[in-house]
Amino acid sequence: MENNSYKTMHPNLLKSMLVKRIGFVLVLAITGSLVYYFQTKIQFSLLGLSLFYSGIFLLALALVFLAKAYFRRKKFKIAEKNISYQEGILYQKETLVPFARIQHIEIDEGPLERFFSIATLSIYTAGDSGRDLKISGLELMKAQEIKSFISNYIKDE
Amino acid sequence: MNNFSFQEFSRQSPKGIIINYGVLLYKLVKSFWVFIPILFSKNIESKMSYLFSVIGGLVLLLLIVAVVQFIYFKFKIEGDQFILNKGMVFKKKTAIPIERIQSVNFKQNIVHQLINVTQVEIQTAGAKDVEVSIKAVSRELAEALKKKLQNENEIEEEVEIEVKEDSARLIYSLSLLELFKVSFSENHLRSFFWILAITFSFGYQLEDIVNDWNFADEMIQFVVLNKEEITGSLLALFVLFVVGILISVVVSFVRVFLRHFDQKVVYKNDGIQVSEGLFTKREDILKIQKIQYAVQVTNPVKKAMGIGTVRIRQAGSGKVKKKKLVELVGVKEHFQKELNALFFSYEARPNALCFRPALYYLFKMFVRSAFFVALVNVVFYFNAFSLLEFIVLNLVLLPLSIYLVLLKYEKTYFTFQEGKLILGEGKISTVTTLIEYFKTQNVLLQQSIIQKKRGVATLKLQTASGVIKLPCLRLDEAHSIKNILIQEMEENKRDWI
Repeated sequence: MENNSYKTMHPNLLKSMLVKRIGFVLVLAITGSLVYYFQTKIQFSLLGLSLFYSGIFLLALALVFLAKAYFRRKKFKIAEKNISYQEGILYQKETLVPFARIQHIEIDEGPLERFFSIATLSIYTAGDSGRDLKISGLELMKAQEIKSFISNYIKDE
Repeated sequence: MNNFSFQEFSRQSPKGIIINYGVLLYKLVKSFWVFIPILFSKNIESKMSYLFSVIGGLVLLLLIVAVVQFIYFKFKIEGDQFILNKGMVFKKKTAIPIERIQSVNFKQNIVHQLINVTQVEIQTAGAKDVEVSIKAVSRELAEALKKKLQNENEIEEEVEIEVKEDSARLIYSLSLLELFKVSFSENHLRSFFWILAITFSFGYQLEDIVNDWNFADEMIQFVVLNKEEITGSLLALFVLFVVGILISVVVSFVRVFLRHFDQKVVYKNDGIQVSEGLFTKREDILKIQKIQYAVQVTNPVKKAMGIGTVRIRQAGSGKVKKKKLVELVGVKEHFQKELNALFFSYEARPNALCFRPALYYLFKMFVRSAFFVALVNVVFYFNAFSLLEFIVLNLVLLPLSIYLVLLKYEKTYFTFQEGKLILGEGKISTVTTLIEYFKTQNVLLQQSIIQKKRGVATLKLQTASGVIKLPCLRLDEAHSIKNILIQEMEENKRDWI
């Protein structure tokens, strides 16, 4: 279980991140188009319209590109007595939680996550909840394994 | 006192209906207060009777709700659990294991005092936080309940309560003169900004109704009309500033008197008991082992008068963080030492392991204050100030902001000794935070992309009562501090709560 090097997340996380981002851009493009189609006040020239759509295309490209970078930065490590997690590009964060301070652990699977057979492991301490650990993109088996490993550790203490 | 066994369900005092009703009415006003101006607008007079019957109906409905709330609010002790049932439509059953109860506090606001009831607040801590507040019971019942909940707690821990029971002794009680001293030495600038914020948010709302209400407006008008007689707008600004500060002093006084009137601190059992308040009387019990960290605040004025402030933070959920802060004002120096010894068995030593933020921190603060100075200048530019006034303004502003930044950098340090982290900060005031760092919940090491280039990092210690921040450490130092913290958190087997 223990491993002294940081591990990257399951590749399916990248896929689900991409699906989410592309979905977001699509929703944006479709709502934009619908609003434009049904309103009558403003009339864009052909140039304006193509600018709008190429803007959206650029946004999509940027999001996809960033998703890869974000994915590569997400790493976790399970040491003998603590668990740590890194993420972020502009703000690079590394959170460390000793097992001894963990209050409870949750495993969540959203519909998209289930499709890609990955899960989110949430770890709660008594600190202000916003800063606790949330590791998404673990294989379900792996998440359960970590959960029982930590639970056993806490019980033994 | 033995009349209260809590085996069966008991209700609050019937007077609780009044409290329930008051709370409901307050909520009603609070959620609809934006519409209050409508009542005073002109074109609504025709519909007045209709409007009043709606309001009357609501008020009556709330009375029924208050009664129903009262009837369905029942509590008892069953085994080792405190059980609370409430609600008619949305039934809610709460069961709190007594050992998880952190403290039982009393609170009386002016309504409580008038009808002679006490509010009991039961605080717990843990993953799923439960806060229970029993709004109105008689003082005797409150005392009995507290005894029941806390005694059972202690029997489990240790059996020497009887010895401890006698050890209640008064540490200090704040006299009126000391209260004046405390108010006088508060950070008035904070009150000033507080007023500023309130006037702005409130001023806009009220502007339509009362046009000439705003004192500042009158002042500005006065200044504008007499511009030639007053030698310049800078002087006017100065006058405004002085008036603002005077008002702030008054606000500080009111705030301190309302909250800390008759503050009494008593040693009791394994903690201290703090009671205070002018209209709303509070009584808090601080159990030593449950304290997360303490913050001492002092400033030159306070120092000269030989008093200081100590803020003590207990564990709590994020929502009710404010309540978990107990502020001891007017703490004298010898008691300060006593407090440190009491809470943390700590005495300052010079040869401890000490860290300072990297020079980047200084640089960052300079950039920030440069932004601030530039912003002030831009604002003044658009208000058509003369060149001379600009020069005077910046002659004051620039040295002042440089001095404050240097002061802040000078006062920031992080010391480790025997399991305690002592963190110094502050500008004009000196703020010293003391934490037994094994109580930290988790540690966050954070680098912005600029910090990464400069090789510095910020450490954040997440405690059960808020965040402690160590800004802009050198990266290697940040890592070694992180390791010290983590090791102590893992190895120290004492309860953090």
